[in-house]
Amino acid sequence: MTDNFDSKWEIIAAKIHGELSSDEEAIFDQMMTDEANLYGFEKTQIIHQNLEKTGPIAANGKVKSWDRTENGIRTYQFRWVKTVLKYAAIIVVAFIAGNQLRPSAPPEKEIRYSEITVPFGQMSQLKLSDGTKVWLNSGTTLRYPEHFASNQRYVTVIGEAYFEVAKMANKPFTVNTADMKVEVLGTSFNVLAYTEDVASSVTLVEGKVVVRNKEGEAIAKLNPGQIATKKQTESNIEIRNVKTAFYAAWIDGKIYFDDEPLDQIAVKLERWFNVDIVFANEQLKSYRFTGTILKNKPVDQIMQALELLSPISFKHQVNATGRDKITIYRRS
Amino acid sequence: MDDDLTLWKNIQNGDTRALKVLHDRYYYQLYLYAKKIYHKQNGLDEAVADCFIKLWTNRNEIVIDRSIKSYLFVILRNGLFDLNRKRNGIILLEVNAVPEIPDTETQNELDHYARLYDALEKLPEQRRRILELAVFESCSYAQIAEKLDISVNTVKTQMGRAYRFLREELDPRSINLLFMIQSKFSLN
Repeated sequence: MTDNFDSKWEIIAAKIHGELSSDEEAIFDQMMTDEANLYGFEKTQIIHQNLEKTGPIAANGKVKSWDRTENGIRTYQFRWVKTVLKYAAIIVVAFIAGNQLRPSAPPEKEIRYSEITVPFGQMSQLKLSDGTKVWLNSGTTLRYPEHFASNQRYVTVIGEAYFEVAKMANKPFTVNTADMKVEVLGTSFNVLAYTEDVASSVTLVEGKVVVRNKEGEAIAKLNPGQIATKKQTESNIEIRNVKTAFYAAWIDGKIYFDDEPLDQIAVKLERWFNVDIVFANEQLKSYRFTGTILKNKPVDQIMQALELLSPISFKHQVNATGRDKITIYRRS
Repeated sequence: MDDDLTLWKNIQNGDTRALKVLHDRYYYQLYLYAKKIYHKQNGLDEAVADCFIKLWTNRNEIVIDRSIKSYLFVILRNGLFDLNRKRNGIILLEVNAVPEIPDTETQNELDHYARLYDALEKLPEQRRRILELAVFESCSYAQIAEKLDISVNTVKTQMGRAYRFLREELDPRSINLLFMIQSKFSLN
């Protein structure tokens, strides 16, 4: 009989697998006179029997299965993009644009324009012939030439678009909206100009842009990190400094709020995430918030983002039977 | 540890990590259930992974009324019927003979076997390999030593440690349950 724990287990294992020498058999018999050892041996035997019954699971079965799952999800997402592209391709309509589309462009040979409209609830991304990348938000229409003129690059946006403009010296890139024109060199920026919205805006992420009114007069020059907002009813333009990441964030499937009161934001969050949101402090409801909501992220992450950007804190109570409850407090 | 309901909410919000937690939690139970009703090794891995792909793909449409676990079993069962249909000639239990989801008793069995596998998975790579050769391939210690190019003494030590670990990992209560159910449940 041995006191060494390791050797005791070696004997038990060897007994189960018929690997005991006659000397060891004697030790085993001796061990089994102790009731605790006997009990342990019996239980271990059961484990062995159950192992035998279940049979081998291919090594790393769990890991392989997750790999397969992950690939499946990716394939699915890829298919989704393909579907959107297919759909987008159908509604790309090539047509010959009249002069009214490029009012300040010198008359040139006719330029063939294409138009793309992104359905609501979807997004699209495309690359123009000069290498410029454009992301189009839901319900946005982009009109662009198949090939750019020799000295100008013009596109028209109704809705919201994010541009990463390919740098080209002496060949400015201009985005027309209903209310303004944004002229750039090489830069990244976001244009927001849905016709039903009262204001349109341009947010500059990097580079330099000049904002002009419909008549072509320069009304603002933006530095990176600035947003220019123009109300349709007014001729002047308002410029503010912002965290641009939030304005361009929708290209990653995020949604931003521009100067929206917290109680309205809460209503949307309640809908998206199936939670109840209550305010511990009435005054907070009117706190206006500008920023981005990550629609595909857990609600806690969104609340944490709100905490960073406004004077609030929150408490999330998980409710197993109904909707979770989120309470918003004033941060002390 | 997040409960299933929290995981499901996060999955619906597009959190793939939550899907992985759920996958790792139920992989063995689903796999063993598939093995029990399908009687063929081939395609089982795909069938289990497909459950989670389907869950993810339709996360915005699915309404969970019982539990996410029951729902996974339903998807799996339906997936296995499809698999069977595609590969004519493979014998599957009569459609009516397979309950929509395993009954509580079977689920408990699956749960316990899953725990056994989970414990097995935690063994160091070499120790697990040695144990698998001994248990599943009925190799003698000498054969294992030769196969893995190690000494018989190492095999002996590792086998002892493997059983010790499994014994300690599965609490006494669960071993009793395994003992109670072993006569009712055979996977082969």
